[in-house]
Amino acid sequence: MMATMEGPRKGFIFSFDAVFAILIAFFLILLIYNNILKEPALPPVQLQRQGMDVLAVLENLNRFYSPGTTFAETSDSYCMRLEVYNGTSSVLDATFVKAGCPSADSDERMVWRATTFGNRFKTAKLAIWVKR
Amino acid sequence: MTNEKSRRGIILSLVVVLMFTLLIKYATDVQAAKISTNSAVSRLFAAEKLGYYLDDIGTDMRTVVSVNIPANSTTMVFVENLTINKSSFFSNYSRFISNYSNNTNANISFNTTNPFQLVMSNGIVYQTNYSNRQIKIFNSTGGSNTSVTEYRVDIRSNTTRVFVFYPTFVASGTRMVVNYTDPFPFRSFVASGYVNPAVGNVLDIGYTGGRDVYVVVGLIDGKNNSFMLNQSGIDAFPYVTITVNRSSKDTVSAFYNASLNISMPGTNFSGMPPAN
Repeated sequence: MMATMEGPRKGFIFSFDAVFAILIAFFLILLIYNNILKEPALPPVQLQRQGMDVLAVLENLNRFYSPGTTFAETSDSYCMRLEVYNGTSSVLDATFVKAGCPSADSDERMVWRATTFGNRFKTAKLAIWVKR
Repeated sequence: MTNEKSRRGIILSLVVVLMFTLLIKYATDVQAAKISTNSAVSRLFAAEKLGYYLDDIGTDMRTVVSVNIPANSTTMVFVENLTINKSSFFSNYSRFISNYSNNTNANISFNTTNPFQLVMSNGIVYQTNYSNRQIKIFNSTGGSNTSVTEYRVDIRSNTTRVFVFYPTFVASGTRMVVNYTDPFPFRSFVASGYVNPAVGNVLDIGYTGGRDVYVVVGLIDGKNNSFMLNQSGIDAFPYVTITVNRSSKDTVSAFYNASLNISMPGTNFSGMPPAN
């Protein structure tokens, strides 16, 4: 009688132990994957930093209306779109998209730069995102 | 036997609890480190953005007047764009920057006064007055510009001159060089020689209708060894390049005497935008 009761209880404890071990293993794998193995996402500030550099280069080389060469010199993993406005108005003067990139992305970050052409003022807006 | 099993069970439970505690501690530490790193990066990025806005505005100012001071050099080269109407430029630019700051996550205000100045860390000031079209270079401390050994001005005129009067050159003093290019090549000239820095030495380039361009080196407004370029009744050249040579090699910083205020989350700036 004792032996028949002992059998199912042991089985239950072993099953419970196994489930518990699997849970711990799963939790460990998840933790390791999240913190060590998973490639970290590029922080938004890094994107903005790249965008600021690109705009500074474009202004110093006077390439706001021909940014293709500068775009081509950036990393292949970045996509960008440059919009040049008259003054700070919403009147769009010109738009350029980096070759091989879509024209927009839901995760794009914006960077701005003011510039002058003699007595005329322009605002450059660069949208930058990681290529998918 | 039963006691032995219970003890094993308790030890096993303790080991599991200990493992879980360590895992939870590790996870919370990693999370805290991530938050701390992100916060530090954000603070540093605010400083970077401030530098970016200073560079942005400084680059725009350089289209009006710029100075090139190579590190550890005796030379300073000023280039001014005289085609820009500075009065309307600065007034519009101030409004433009105010509107521009609405696009960014920063409050930026920018104001200038006439005369507009480039202020050097060694006391030398480049001043352009857009009411009377006078350019002056002098020592801001009020004393003589003793460190300046040579003023050289390069003028490419778009109007043919009628005459030129040279100053009295002497054996030693401050070297004055005027490299004048006329539309009529025969009337181009290079005047160079030493002048007494304690008196006003005037080189007068005359045009028809009583219009003149004056280049003065020496005593100006009570300051010895200063420089002045004055266009009287004429806009004879769109750009001017003035090279100043000094006796000492040092690293000089330059600033525009504009009032610039930048305020954004994490950092603020109030002062003059850098010119080099």
